[in-house]
Amino acid sequence: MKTQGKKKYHLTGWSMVMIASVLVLAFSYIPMIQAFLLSLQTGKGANLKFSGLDNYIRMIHDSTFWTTMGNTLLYAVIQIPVMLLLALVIAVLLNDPKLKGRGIYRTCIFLPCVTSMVSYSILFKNLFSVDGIVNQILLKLGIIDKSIAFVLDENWAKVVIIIALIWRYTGYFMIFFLSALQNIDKSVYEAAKMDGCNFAQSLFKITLPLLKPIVFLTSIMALTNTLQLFDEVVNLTEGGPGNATRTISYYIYDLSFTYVPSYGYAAAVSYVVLLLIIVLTIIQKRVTGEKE
Amino acid sequence: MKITGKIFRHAFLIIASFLSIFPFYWMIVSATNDSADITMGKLTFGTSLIKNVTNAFSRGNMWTAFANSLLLAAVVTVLSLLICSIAGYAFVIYPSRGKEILFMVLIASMMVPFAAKIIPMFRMFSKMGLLNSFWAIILPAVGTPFLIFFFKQNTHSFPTETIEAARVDGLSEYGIFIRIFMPMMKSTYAAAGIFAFMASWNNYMWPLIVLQSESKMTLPLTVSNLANGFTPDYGMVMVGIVFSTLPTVLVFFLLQKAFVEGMVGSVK
Amino acid sequence: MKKRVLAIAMAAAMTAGTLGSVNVMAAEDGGTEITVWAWDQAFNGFAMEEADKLDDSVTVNFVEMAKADCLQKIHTVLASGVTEDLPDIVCISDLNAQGYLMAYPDAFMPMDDVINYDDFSAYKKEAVSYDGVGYGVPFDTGVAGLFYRTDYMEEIGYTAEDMQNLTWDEYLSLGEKLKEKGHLLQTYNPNDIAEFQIMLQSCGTWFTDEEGNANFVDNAALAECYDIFKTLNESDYCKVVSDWTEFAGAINGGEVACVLRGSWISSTIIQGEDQSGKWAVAPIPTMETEGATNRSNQGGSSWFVLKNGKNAEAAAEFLKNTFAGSTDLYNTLLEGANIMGTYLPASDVEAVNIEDEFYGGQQVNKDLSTWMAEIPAVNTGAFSAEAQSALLAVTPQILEGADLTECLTEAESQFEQMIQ
Repeated sequence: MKTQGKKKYHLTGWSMVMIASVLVLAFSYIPMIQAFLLSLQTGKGANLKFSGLDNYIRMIHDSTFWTTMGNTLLYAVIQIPVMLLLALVIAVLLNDPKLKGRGIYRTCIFLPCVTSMVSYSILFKNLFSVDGIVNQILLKLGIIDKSIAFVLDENWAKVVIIIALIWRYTGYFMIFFLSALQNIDKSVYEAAKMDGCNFAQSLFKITLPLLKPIVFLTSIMALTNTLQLFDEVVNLTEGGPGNATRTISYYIYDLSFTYVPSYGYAAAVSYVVLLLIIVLTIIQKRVTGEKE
Repeated sequence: MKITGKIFRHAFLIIASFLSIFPFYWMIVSATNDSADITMGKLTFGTSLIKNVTNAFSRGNMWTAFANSLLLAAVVTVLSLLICSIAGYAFVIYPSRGKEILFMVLIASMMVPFAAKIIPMFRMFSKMGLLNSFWAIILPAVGTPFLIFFFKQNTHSFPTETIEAARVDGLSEYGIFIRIFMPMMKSTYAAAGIFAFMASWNNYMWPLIVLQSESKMTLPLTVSNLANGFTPDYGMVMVGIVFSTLPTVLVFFLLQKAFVEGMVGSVK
Repeated sequence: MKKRVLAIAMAAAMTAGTLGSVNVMAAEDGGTEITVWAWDQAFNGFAMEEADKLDDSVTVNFVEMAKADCLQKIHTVLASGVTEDLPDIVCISDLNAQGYLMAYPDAFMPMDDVINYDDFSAYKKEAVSYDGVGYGVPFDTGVAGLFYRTDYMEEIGYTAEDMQNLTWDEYLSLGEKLKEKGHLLQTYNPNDIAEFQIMLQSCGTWFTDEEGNANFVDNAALAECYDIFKTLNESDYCKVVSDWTEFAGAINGGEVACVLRGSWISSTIIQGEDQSGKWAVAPIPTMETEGATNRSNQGGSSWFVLKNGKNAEAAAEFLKNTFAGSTDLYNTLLEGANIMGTYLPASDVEAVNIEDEFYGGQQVNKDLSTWMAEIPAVNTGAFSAEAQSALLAVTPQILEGADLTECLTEAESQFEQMIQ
């Protein structure tokens, strides 16, 4: 079918991808190319001059760049696998048509990603404050003997951010899996059950392989989102204490709009982020074995 | 064994649901409380709802902003679903080396932090004479690499035999997409609809930069202005937030049904 | 079904198109329309509205945005070099002002020939000038005060008079005494060094020197700031907070006895309506560093005219007639919204003498405006945000007891890195 289809339907295929491609190329690529040219210029604000790779060299000695890059990668490494696994498990559980109350569960678990940042950041800080509920519970259970100032501690603040991210986006990624599970033939599971597969076995042996394209998609989307993480950190910790929770996107924002702007340098840092995501995507593609 | 499994399953889901819904519940509760109570983390309903609502709606054009946001979200969602789904579909059904490269190129564009693109984009829309126009919001949002990607990955589970059968029946290539693919992939469209709506509804930074006049403001911008003073009145802010959150919840409610139905007319 | 959806989409798109091309302009009372970008409707918006009433030749179109958004939008527009649809007047916070003036030469209108800078508090002129040229029209002050609870102080036997000329040692010693009575001295946020601004300026110094270089290592005042900060960090009489909401909550909830901030904090304090009559304001504590005073400033912003704005000339004229020429305006602002300007001829308007019930009948405005005229002028330069970022990055180490000079040297090199 393929060889014959290729020739016959060559033009149809191209015509179908045309509109979307032209739109993306026009409204994303032209600005991207300009941003790249900008990354080759140095200077403050509008006083720019061409200076080759200076901005890229500047990054090597920029300790804030390395700190924020490290934080961002740490978030990605911990948050993404935990969140995706959780989202997948929940989706599989909720996909059982015999499960009572699944509509309610589904709605509840989706709600965090529409809960406004402003309100949930106030609440999260309240929960994790020195005299907040989390400390009270831990004290009562005897796990700690002195309250922890979570948001103000270099390590705990990172933990709070990761918890907040998992909390917020698990429901969002659950939808990817849920909608994809609908496209899987139910009889496959019936057969597996007959063969005596338990939950974990059918999850890893049947669901995951069938969902491969979606697992690849979600891991790339999660990676892209986390490497561009900004709002959560601004609202929860303002990047502190010190630079302990600051992300690379936060740094790019500061370079462009908080400090006396270095647009060229900000663009260069952005391109390094792009490069990083591309490299990680290729690795991921290999790992998940996604093939055309 | 079976019973304990069931209990465990429900216990897990109940805990997850509780943790998920708690901040949402708090957001609703806060809309009925005073600013001072909110900052001190009060967890029960208060009596300030009417005062908060009056305050929130007397400031700024909440309804105009609501209408603007709704219009933009509707247009962007429908157009992006149509345009991106057909592209994602074609990337799988008519594969070629050229398209594979094109797809990679498209995907790369969502990986550049937006902050780096703002200034060139602003310059571009100024040249097109579209500053302070809704077109400046719609055009970049319609061709979304993420949605193309999403539809492409989901098309992998679309049975190719169906296409062959349809061709034998004499359907045109576009006909197959419209008559067969679109109805069959209902749950995929429903999920994509939620994603597209949410992205448009919550879009903040670009509208902030490109829109100028009061009559064009979108809801997130107007609500953010509520929290704007040296001392924000959080009760009022929460009313604004709840007001701007409910439509997304409603859209989810309406579209989630489509999840359950699954692939329509799936062939064995 | 699909067709109907498509039809709706098309109709909607067409509506969007119409809306896109119609420019709704609400010119109510005639005159040239002047567009202003600023934050805070109740503060800056109120001020512009009142100014608008005084000048019939213009109509002000006030566009409100969150502060960070406003500053970002001004950056984007100016950096893109686009000149259509520019606002005529923008509000910029004083600590950011020189950065904008440096980044976009030629974007702002010089005002030396339009207004008389001697009419304004000296520290303010410094803030809105670059390379010896004045650009901004100075607006509100952030004159610093020590706001305190009179009822709590009474419990430990302190009168208003005792609070007048405190040193930092004396001030901190109140902490233990308040703690015994079940109160806390003030809030403390290890990730926020905003109080340093007040402390440094009270000594006539800043994070950076006249040339804009880091002034960290050999800065006695900064070393004292860190001493005080460490004392607060180790004490048990502070309310630890991590952000503005908790900070405001501690004040309104009656947890802390004192707040050290710019005068604008008053709008937060008076939200605690049940505490009316229980607050007063005194001059800030004096540091030990040579040249220290008990006058300082924190925050404040100014108006800038964009040279390429459509109605730039009219906007400049408008500012001259109002914010740089009308004592009546400042009287109204003080009376209506407790907004204190930096326009010296307005320092004896009627509203200055108001005895504020919330502050137990104290003539708060009078005291603040007296202090305002005496704030040491420092050149805050263009890189205050960078300097504070660099310092914040090493602050956790300093609080853990690392060597101060070493940390500050590291911060200096980070700062140099940031401003290149």
